[in-house]
Amino acid sequence: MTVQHRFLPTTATDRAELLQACGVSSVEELLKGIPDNVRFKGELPSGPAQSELEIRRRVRTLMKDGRYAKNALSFIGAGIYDHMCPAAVNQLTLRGEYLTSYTPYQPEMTQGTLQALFEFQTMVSELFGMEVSNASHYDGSTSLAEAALMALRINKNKNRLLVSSSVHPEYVQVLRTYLANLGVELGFVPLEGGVTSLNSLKSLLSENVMGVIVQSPNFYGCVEDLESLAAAAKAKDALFIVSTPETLSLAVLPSPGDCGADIATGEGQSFGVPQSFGGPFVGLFTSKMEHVRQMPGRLCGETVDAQGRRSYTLTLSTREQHIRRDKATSNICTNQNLMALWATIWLTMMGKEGFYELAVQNLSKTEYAKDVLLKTGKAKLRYPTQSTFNEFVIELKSSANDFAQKAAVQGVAPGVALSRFDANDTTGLLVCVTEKKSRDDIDHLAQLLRDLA
Amino acid sequence: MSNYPNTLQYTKEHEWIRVEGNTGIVGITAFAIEQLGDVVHLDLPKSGSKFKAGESFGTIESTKTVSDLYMPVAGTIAEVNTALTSAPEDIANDPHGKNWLVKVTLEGTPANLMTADQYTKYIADAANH
Repeated sequence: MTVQHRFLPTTATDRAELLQACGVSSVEELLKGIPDNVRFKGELPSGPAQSELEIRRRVRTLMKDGRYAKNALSFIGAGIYDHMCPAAVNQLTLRGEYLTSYTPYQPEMTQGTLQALFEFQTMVSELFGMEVSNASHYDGSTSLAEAALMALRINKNKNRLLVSSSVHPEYVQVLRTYLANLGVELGFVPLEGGVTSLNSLKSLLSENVMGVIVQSPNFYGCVEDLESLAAAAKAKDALFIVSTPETLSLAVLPSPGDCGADIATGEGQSFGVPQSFGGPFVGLFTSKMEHVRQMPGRLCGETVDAQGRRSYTLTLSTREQHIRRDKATSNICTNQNLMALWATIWLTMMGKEGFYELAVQNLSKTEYAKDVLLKTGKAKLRYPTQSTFNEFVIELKSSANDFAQKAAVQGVAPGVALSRFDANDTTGLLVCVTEKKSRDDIDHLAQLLRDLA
Repeated sequence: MSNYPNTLQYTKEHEWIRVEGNTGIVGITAFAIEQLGDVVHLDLPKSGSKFKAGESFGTIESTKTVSDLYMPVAGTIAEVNTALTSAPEDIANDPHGKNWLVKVTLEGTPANLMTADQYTKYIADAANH
């Protein structure tokens, strides 16, 4: 701690003064409130400090490794999708006028950003078939959790929330975290042949249920019958909440709004945002106008300025924490501005036709992949009768994880072994085929399945 | 300064109630509306909802803030002033009369409320702070 580090600006004198101000004599004393059993002991396994040159060399070596995502042939989806992105999107997003992650508070100096957000909201609400969209959340999972909180505000006299078992397991984890101290009881609706069981939902519904959460296409790639599920929820005055992690599917599937959703959320990563290491992404959030005052997040609106010219500003701010304090509709009132902008530019470049064409390519390549993978005789479809978009589960004869490990050595990520989410599910492999996979890529995957599984 | 009718009883949160037999008519005071500014939205409960005295039964939103509305007395909502909810900006015109918020079927007698004189003194004190 006494060595001066080039990236740590505090000097030994600074530290001594800081410790004095805290009324302790050493860093060790400062940390003594942390229970001993959770303290890390010993050296971090990172090795000694390296020079910039050494680090560059090390990273270059790692990048040559076949498992580096851009070199690998990846069939991984499960909430994060490998879609194409025209170079212009990156170029425009990184322009100095736009390059901020922060929400624009001041309309007098951020008309460009605000207009982009307004366009973003317009496109998102059109895609979801909903009346109003906010300016975004962190990602699809936090959007869904915020939807649950909104349902609780609308139906505050009810305490039960039903969640389909086909919702992404990591989304469910985020949901549990958000709801942990709010007295909401979660109930899980079982599946029947890969999709939410309508009969089970009906029997689980009661007057006490504030909302029903369904994902479509669901975690296993299957398209849910949203319309029937929505009707069942409505019959018991429960809000119907839809989560759509693969939003490109909205190009070819009926919109959540048309199916009767009260709140519809999704992940905007599919709009050309790189998969990165799982973020940053952009959470989409839409609602019926009737509930707009219970909506969380930033909302951008169109208005006129003092000279009567069209202009944009944040609106309905009275829901937010700087005004409403502890009663705000969300205590995360910022948005994912830069990624929302990225998504807006991507959607604009795709246009209606491009967006649709991309979705059709996903559909047809996925059907081709199902066909060639089945022909290997090494796998079968787990849910053969269900409609899918660009993801499906295959059932191997042996461990899916073993196959994935062997394929990784050859520079191919064949999908996500479902044992990662359910230890008992050893043979299921979730495969995703986007427009970026060529026929050769898919044939190569089939060959690996033949050779290694 | 507005005139606070003697027929009403007042809360510290600036609601008023007029008791007519078993029914209480509830609104908010001219002082509260003056503080709020232009009212843009009212969120009121459905008929049949039950509330305890002091419980929040809805919200009133102005261009600058949102405030909770508190029940002066325990009761069940019998009627909501829908003429007002569809034109909430009107509330400033006659807040102690035709622009009431809800009618409540009383469950108990109003307690710990202020008379018009007490309320006038209360808001004068509040203004001096």
